[in-house]
Amino acid sequence: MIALLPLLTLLPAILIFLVLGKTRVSFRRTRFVFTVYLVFLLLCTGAAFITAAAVETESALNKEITEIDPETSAGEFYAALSEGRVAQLPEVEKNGYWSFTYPGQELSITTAEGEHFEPSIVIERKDINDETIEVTSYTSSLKFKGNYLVSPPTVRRRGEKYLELTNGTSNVVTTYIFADDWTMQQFSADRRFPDYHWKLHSLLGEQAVVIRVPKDLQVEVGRGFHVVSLINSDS
Amino acid sequence: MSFHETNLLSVTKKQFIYKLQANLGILISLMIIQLLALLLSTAGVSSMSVGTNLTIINLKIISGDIIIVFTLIWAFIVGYNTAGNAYRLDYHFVTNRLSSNLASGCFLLLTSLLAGITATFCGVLLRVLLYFWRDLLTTKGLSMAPALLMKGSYVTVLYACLLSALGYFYGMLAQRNKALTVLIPVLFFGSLFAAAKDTRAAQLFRQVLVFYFSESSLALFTLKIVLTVALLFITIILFTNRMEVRK
Repeated sequence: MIALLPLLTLLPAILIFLVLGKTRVSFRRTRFVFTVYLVFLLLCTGAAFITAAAVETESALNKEITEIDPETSAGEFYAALSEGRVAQLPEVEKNGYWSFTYPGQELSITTAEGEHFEPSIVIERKDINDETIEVTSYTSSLKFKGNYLVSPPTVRRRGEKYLELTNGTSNVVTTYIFADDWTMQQFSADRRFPDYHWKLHSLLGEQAVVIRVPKDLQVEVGRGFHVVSLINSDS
Repeated sequence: MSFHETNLLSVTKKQFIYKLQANLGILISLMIIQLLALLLSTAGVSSMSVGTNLTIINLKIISGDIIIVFTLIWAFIVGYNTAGNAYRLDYHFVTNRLSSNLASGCFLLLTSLLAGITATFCGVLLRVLLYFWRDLLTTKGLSMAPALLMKGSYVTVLYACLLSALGYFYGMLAQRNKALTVLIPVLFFGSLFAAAKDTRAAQLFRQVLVFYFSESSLALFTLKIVLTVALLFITIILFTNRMEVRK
């Protein structure tokens, strides 16, 4: 239905043309209407300048999107993740935290049957046996309209010795961006966002889950996970 | 036979004013065309999608391209209609083909100027509307640098001049021989189909497009457009000059 909207706009336009085709608009009236149109366009241009000046100073997103460096951001994220210092990265934020008391000796980490758990995981062994499992989800994804582009996973205890991690809800985000008209681009060195596709990937960012387990807990990771590293672990 | 002494300039000026008063209504159609194109542009002129298994970003790119294309089509039609009107209406005056063509050229220049400027500024209106209406990823590009805006307007005016001159040329040919009314579109669209295949005709067609659309020097582009328009008008003047009376 939405796709038909542009076509529906043609209908009134055709009707207007049919009416105007038979009506002779006087020279004076045409001049008046067109002058109003010109003034309106000029006012809109002024409004665009004022709005842009007001908005661009407060929007950090403008800066992030243009100064993003996709290759280094992904590389830094995984390097920090494997070294257990992902939380220290400035562009990374915590988007989920779960804590469970677990007195058992063995833990099996699973995901839903047949599912591939999208975020990478890191298992970090604590220095103490505090009988607590802490799960933290980190993301370097951009916030759009107050929310991260990626949803945090779902983490829950299942049965006696299972910790189940499932993917977060899937998101489809439709957004808009302004580009110069082709009459402007024809003479500019930088054409329309040539590397924009790649930059968009980095807006999605990376996501990882760090599972901190007690010192002597035996951990078994099921299928469907991408384990980046085991920190403070012998095996 | 008139007993009044006339010169080319004064006749051309009178004809130009007459054409302006008689045909200014087309500016209303320009407004409607541009606003219609603006409505069509609200869905984005192009789009791209990027995503993982869990998140997909649909990015719609907003620009005034559709508005400009619609305006250029309008300019071509105005050129064509002006040629038709020139044949039918100009002999309300003591005139000749040269003054008629010169007056038409001035009229088309003025309409191209207005069309080019409004098309670019209508693109700004589109941006302002979408700023309030859509979820933007970034506000970059909401306003353009005045120099860029001027450059965009200037280039659009030049393209509008080219298209209206082509329309006028086609209109004059069509008035001269009705068979050409059909033959020229057939040749044009035929060459478009040929362009879809990798033939010699396709290469020629591409070269013609590249000649204008890929020119990256503004000065050279201006020169190309001015020379092409001048060439078209000189051809029209030579072509129609012998015809001194109403057909």
